[in-house]
Amino acid sequence: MGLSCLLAAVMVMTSCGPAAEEEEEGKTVTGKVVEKEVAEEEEEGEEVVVTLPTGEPQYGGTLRILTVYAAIDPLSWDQADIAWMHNHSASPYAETLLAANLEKGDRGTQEYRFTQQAWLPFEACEGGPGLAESWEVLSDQNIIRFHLREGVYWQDKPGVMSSRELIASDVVYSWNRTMASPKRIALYYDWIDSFEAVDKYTVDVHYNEYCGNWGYRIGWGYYTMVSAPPELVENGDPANWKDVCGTGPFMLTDYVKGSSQTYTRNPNYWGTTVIDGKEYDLPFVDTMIWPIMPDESTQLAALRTGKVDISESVRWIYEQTLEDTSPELMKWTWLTTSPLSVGMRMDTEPFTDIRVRQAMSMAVNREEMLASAVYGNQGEILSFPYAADWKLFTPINELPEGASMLLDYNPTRAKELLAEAGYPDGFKTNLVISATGTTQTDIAAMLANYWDAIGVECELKSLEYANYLSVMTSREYTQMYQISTGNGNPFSVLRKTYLPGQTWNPALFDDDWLTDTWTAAMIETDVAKQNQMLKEMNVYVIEQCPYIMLPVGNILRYAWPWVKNYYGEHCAGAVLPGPIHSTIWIDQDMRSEMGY
Amino acid sequence: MPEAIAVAEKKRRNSVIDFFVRLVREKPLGAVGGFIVLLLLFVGIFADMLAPYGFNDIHPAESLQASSSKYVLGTDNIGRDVLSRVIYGARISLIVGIGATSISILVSTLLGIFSGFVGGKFDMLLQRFVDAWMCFPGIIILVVVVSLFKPGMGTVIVVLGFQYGIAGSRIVRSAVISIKQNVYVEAARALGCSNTRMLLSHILPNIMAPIIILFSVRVPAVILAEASLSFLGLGIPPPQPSWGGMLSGQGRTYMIMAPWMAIWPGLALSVVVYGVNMFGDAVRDLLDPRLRGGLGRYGGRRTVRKAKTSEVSEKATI
Repeated sequence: MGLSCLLAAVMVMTSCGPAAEEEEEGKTVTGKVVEKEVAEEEEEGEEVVVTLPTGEPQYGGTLRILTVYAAIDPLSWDQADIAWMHNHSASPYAETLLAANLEKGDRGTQEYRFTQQAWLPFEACEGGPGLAESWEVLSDQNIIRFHLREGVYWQDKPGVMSSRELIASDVVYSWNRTMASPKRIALYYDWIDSFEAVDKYTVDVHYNEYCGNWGYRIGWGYYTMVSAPPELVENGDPANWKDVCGTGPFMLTDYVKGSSQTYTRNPNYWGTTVIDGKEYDLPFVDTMIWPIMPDESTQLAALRTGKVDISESVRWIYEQTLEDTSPELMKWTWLTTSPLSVGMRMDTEPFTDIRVRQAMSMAVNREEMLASAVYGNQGEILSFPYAADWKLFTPINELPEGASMLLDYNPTRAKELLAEAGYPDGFKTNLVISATGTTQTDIAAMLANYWDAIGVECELKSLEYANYLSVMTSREYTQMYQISTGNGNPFSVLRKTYLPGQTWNPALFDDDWLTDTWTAAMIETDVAKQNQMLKEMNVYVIEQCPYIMLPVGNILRYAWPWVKNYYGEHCAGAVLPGPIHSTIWIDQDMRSEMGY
Repeated sequence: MPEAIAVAEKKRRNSVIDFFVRLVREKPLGAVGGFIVLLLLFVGIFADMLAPYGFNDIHPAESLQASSSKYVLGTDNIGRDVLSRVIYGARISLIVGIGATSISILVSTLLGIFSGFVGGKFDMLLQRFVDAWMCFPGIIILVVVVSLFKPGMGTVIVVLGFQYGIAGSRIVRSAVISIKQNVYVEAARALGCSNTRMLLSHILPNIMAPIIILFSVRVPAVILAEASLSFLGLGIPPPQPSWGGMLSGQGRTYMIMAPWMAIWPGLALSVVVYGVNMFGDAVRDLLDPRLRGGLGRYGGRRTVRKAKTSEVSEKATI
């Protein structure tokens, strides 16, 4: 018995133990002070954002963050490997041409929440900390022109390169390298003819055909880091963490596989931020550590004990226990960015008939689902294909009747529709789901129950993940397929979910109007007109009902109160947290006073 | 003498009743285990009548509720009655546990007996196959085989049966080899006993003890192995409940908020494992032929009683 207790105690202490790292004394840097008025606004009806008094920022200290991808190691340090996670891992030390202006979020004008994984309207990037100070589309010349900032310097990396100013030819070199990668995504850059360094601070992108989603493709999206200067390729190894360098607020100084990534303050970083009317050099902290912790319990323990300052992704089921044990924690909520939906094969009976698809959707009690412990009575009924916090999203009460009725629970009408479609006694069907985790299984069990009530007998086929994906890509599922699709951005979510021939279109939706409109929107240079087309497409695909839209849950984000100038933002570009983390400072006195 | 024979015949006709009487008198723990096994059978067979709700009747607004008069063991994360799911889970566990174990015992016995009895090159070749089989991590074999065939209860039973059966043949084989060395086996061969008769009359009865123990140990192992498969999506398809699946899935996820989701299926599993093990132990002791006749406490007493009865009868006759 005693041995068992000792063993349990050792395990608990081990899970709470700190990673091997040292705290450094904070260094005081005198920043440039510029008086500036910062307007504070609150919109009525919106979730109240807690704007905490920040106090006088302090330089120094160590910031520890459990990022949304804390359970996995970086996939690659080299952009040319076209790893989706590269933006995330490199964002502290490298930069993109465009990035979110966080002042347009909760810390400023509150126009955007910056909680989406891969979506930034162009207007949200204006004034942001991208390498491009400004940009313009010269449609008569088929050129997108970027005007680079002056005074941006590559980090000094002994043995690889000496610090020097970033110039246009560096951007061209980095992009040419990315586009020449044998791993590049097919058709992704086909619209681009070439990158050109017009002068020292001007980059022209010559395109064959205008791409309305160019921001995602070359501005702030995946694989858009300017992170490989010629010296790195010639003198070092871009895939070796010890050699990588960029122009960002931090420098990558340590990486221990399965343990942590450590970033150290870049003393030559160009960026600044304004807090309470004063401008400060960035970053504030000396060191930023991203622990790697696959186990959820360990992550929670680290948060509770103050071993980490921020945890970016916590499930709602831990909300109460965290409130009980650590009531001082600051909390933010954000919608899951990969909602679940059920695709009904539109090339197979009975789902060729829209009335059957409508019936299946109307049989689902989404309010009741939200009330279950799967969602914890929080979330949104609809957040797909567009996320509910996008400006292009159409709220349910503004949807046309043909779309909004699909989200109402109406089993009586559902049975009538089935009868009209020739299935008065229902029918038998099946649904393929992934066995990973319990959420898909629980939701599918609820759906089966709802469909049973209208006479549809549904067999659940739970498959191991690799098999589940294989069944989708090979189209071996015979009836329905439950899928988790990232919202991404308006163009990408419509393309991959609704255009014919797309892998992540398990409903096999194929509609000429949608395909033509999407193609037209992609080459539309008038942003207002383009947005209107995007809004119309969102409503249209909901009405056509190839997918049963399911409720979307909340994810929680926590930070200790000594974390200052942080507003719970998620990304400043596609999976790009670096610019957000660089603005954070630590009140080290408060942390000490609180005993952490 | 004719009276003694009549007594023996009468006692043979009552052997089943006698077995259970002996079970209760001499192996009270085993009797408890037997009762648990019977209870499991009863619950599994009559689950439809015993469960107050269907195993997938959802009441989302009442999810994660603790025990109440409406939901005796509480509800799970989507408002399903835990008691109903435990009851239906008994059926699944029963079918999978006994089905897969029966197959595994059959496979172990056949392989072990033939391998041990025949010996020589046949034994060597067969055991190399068993060696190779045992080298593979069991879960890998399970994943591959279940992925090839349609996941479902039948596939799980067959796969688990063969998985455990082949590995367990080693135990049976070593028991057979040990029994084969005995003098009575040689004597039987010398008397012209056929191999079949030797196997059925001399070998098999004398290896029943390890087989019974193997059975009782394997049932819970199979139930837990099914949980591993369910965890990977290769086990009993949802929403059908199995105790292992309830434990490893939602029970684990919501353990802090709703510990009853893990406690009740875990308790059911523990009780069944205990019951099967105790019952198996008792049955082994009562059926072991080495404890009959001149060997063992009970066998010796029977012999003494018989002798005394005979003496009394002879004296009376005289």
